[in-house]
Amino acid sequence: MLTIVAKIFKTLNSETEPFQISLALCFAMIAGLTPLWSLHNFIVLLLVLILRVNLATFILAWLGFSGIAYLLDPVLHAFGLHILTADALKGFWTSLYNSTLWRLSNYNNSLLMGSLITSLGLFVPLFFLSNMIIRKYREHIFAWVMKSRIVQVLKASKFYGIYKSVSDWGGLS
Amino acid sequence: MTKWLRWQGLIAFVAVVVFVFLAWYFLVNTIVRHSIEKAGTRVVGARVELAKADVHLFPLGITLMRLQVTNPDNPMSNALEAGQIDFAIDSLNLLRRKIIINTMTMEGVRFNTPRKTSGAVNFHKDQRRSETSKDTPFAIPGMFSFQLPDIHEILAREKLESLEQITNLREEIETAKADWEKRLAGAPDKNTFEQYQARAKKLQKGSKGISGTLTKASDLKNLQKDISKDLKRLKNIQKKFARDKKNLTKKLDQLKSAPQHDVDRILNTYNLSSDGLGNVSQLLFGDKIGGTVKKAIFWYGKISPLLTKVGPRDKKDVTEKPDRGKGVYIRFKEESPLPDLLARQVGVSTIIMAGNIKGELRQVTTDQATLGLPLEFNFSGVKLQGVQSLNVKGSLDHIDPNKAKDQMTIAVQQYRVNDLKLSATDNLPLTLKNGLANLNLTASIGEEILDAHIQVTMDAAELETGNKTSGNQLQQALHAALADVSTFSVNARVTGPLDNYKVKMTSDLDKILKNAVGRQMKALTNEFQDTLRAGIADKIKGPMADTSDSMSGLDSITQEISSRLDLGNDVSGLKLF
Repeated sequence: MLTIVAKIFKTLNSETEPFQISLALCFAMIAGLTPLWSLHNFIVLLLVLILRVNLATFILAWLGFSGIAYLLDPVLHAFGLHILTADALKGFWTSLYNSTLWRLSNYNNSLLMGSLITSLGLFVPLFFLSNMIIRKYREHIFAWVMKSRIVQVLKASKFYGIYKSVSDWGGLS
Repeated sequence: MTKWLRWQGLIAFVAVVVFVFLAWYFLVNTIVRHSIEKAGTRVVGARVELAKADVHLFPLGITLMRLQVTNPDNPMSNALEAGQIDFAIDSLNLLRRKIIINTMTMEGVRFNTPRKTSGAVNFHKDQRRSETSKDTPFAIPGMFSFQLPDIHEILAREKLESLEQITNLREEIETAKADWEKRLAGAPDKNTFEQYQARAKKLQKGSKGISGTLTKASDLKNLQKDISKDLKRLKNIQKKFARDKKNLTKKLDQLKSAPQHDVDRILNTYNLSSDGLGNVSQLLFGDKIGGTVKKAIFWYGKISPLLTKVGPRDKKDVTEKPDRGKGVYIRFKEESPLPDLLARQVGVSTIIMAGNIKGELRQVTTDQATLGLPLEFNFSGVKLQGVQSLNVKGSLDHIDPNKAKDQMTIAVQQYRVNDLKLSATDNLPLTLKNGLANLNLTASIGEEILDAHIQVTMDAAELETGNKTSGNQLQQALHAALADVSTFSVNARVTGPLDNYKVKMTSDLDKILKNAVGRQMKALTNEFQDTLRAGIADKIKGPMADTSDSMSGLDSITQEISSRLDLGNDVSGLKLF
């Protein structure tokens, strides 16, 4: 776990493009909030592996979002139930229900529907927000953090040793 | 473009997918086995075990090896064991989360096979205990007795109504006597009439002359009036007393028949009448038929809920809070509706002691409402060992769960029965050594109400009744009558709600036994009746004598009233002038 955290710090501080980290966060949000063994998560996995998305960030964020999903479960279920039982959408859902591919996707599960709509809705805002935060971090916070006393203490710790070793691997993104 | 893409990621993706597929492939057999065991155990309430599950992909299907379903009432035996179950699954429908099986075969199905280890599970233990401890729903009346009960014990235990009536009458007589004595105390008596005599004598000696004569006439008239009034009062008392006494005498007479009522009541209580033999079919066959019905209802209770076990389809279902991380599946209208689980045809080969029985089940599903067809079954076997033919067929119709209608018929021809113990009591040990049975059963359950008719005719029967020379005359007569029986029939009617049904049985054995032992039973009853009557008479003798004495006590009141009336009449008849 420490290695992954160290990698994230290394990524944040490296030349890795902010979009690579932001995309990792966004895809992790979809994979983490929605039930794991769903058809769409194979597509997410494919995209994560094909696009130059930062894998360490994806893995850690996925774990984080899984925890959030557990906490938000009742809300996501209620939201999905509301969408699936909306009279206006009944015809649409019925047509999907009669398609084998869509049935395979488990779209008619209240939790999957609620979490997928939520994560897709937050995908673009989270992408731009995290992009902006990473840039601000690199421009303003990184130098200040490096000079802070706490970092000086951390540099003497085991974690810093890991961080250094990860940095020495080079080019992992 | 390369800034955004890394093509080697595609290889990683393929590797991950292949890994997941391989993991599934190697684990799927175990997953399927565990799923079946877990679901089956939950439904049955006892361990369901599977030796092996083999999922094959081309064509997609599953082979299950040695399925064992533990009997919840006897965890050391399997209610059902199947050697091999094979079925192919419709792949396209599986993608739609529907398990549709066109043909399934079940080979080597056996019942009541022994287990090496107990198949009990904890979660239904208490429930099972309560089910088994429940009384059988038909009450078997007390077995007729072959020994005379001890009269002394009976008389010490039984409350005699005649004795109670005698005591009550005595109290009533005593109360009436006291009441009349009190009333007589205030009535004209000897003293009163002596005073009248004194008044009369005085009048005779009274003053003379016209005025004296007139006064005397007036006083005399008053005296006669007073005497007449008291006499009238006494006559009234005499009349009312005579009426009361007549009532009490009538009650005393009625008491004489009270001991016979006690005798009759006690005879009925101790079943000492040949009517007790009228329920012998219930005694001999009731347990066996009742036990079978109970077992059948237990399994029916397990199976019938599965026929209507559908997923959430209405608003009420989806508003129930699901487990965390599960959500609920919302159903929409399908163009070609199919249940989630359906086996269109299941071929079953069953092995019983008599041989092989083949049959099939059709339309096996957990959602008959969607399928619109009932489950049907038909099993038959011919030229079996000890059975000429066996046929079982029926249907379970739960298309409308609120109007479920299930029916079944069983026909067994020429079933050879050997050493079937019908009664193990000391009074009448009875074993059916040999016999050829024909059995017809029709049963239906509609809206939880059972109506079943079982008819068994037994030919070439050989009944063994223990030692024919031992026991009293009655037992010997029974032995002799049963030994001569070579054919008999038994009819059972089981009706009522599933949790409170009644079993009513009739058999021509009832009549045979009743006729055979009627005379002996009558003699035995008479002997008992005489002894009982004597015992009761002895017990009520004292109180009855006391009551009669009390009754005699009323005679003194009669005499007293008569003597007062005589005195009154004497005074009234005096010649005063």
